[in-house]
Amino acid sequence: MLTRNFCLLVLSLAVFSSCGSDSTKNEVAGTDTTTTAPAKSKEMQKAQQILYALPSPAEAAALMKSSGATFDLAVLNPTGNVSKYGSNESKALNLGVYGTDLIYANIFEQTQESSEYFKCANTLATALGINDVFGEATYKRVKANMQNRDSLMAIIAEASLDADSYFKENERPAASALVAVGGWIEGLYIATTIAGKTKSEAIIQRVAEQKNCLNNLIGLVESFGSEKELTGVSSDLKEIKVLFDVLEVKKTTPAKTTSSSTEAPTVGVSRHIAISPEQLKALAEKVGTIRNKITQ
Amino acid sequence: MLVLISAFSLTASSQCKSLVKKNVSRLAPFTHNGQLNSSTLPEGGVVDFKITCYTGLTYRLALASDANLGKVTFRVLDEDNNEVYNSSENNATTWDFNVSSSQDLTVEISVPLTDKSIKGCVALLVGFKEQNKIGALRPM
Repeated sequence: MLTRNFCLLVLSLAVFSSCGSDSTKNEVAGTDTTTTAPAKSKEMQKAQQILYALPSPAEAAALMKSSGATFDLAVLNPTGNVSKYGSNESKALNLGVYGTDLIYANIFEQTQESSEYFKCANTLATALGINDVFGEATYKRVKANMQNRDSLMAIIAEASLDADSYFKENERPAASALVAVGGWIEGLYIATTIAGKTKSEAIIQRVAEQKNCLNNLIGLVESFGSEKELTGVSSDLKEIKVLFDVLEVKKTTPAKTTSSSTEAPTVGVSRHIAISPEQLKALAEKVGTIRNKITQ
Repeated sequence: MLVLISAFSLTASSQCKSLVKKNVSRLAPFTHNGQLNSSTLPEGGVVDFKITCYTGLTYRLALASDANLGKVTFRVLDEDNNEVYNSSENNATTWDFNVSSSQDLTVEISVPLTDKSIKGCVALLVGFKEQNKIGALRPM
């Protein structure tokens, strides 16, 4: 964190001090920066940070369920694999993998599996030094709320926030990115596998929509520059991006925005991402290879 | 110098986490996505958060900021850079919405200009909920 924040500070000082009258966007991606350069003039204040906020695996899992997917334990990373992961890089990636599996099990209200995947996440988090995030107190709360999906989801979200924060406060921001990458790859693996099995149009569309998220994830990883631990995953994500980049995006008629003050408006551009069976197959194979490299 | 920066960074990060935790309840009944989206900004500072939103979910954005920063505002831009929301129009610090198709949105958070030299934490909390659990919050 020291190195990254120092770089951010230097970068932001450079940008703040060199801005002209044009608006400048300073792409220093990440989810928690502590850029501290004070603005001294209106020109300087136009320097702007761009940060990438990734959707949580919970959002993708919730969408899978609402798209008609059913729980399939065979798709998840077996809990017995937890003892295989030796390096910190592998532990962080698989903390993300097991985190997604935990959320997936919880969304589908699989209490026993949720408990088992919580233990796996706890094992890896402890090995990475995050003892009090998934520790005994959290485990007691998990057990007490095992039958309440929404409460459990809130506990998992809080643990994720604490883990994310822990890495950043302890000068290990790359570990935070590895957890995010592991979690996203696992979510995409689950989605492509279920899409391949069920041929459900709704689930296939969910897979195609991950095209949006991938760009932000790559932006996040690249924001760490030459961090050694991220070289491999950066290359893996770019291989997946090649397959997403060929998907055709068609703009469609925009949805109307509600005029009622009591309803949430529908906003944004309207479009459809088309993916053929062959493209889905190629994507599933690539994601499967990368996911297995992470989990084996 | 490095030690001082490190110490400041640690403190700033912890303060931002505390700010997020203090404000998570404002997302209810939405589920917090568990991420720390925050930045420390000076007076007049601006930060863009790129967020991916999925059709089929309803979202709540909640803005949190340190009191010393004054009236911090946010606006939301779609993929074509069209402004779809501006909090300064109604002084709101939360906003619920759906997206017409899955896409990236940009949330731009701005700290007002002042004559004083200040800095503080701003945080964007993102909550989500399946649309079939919302009832009234359905896309048109």
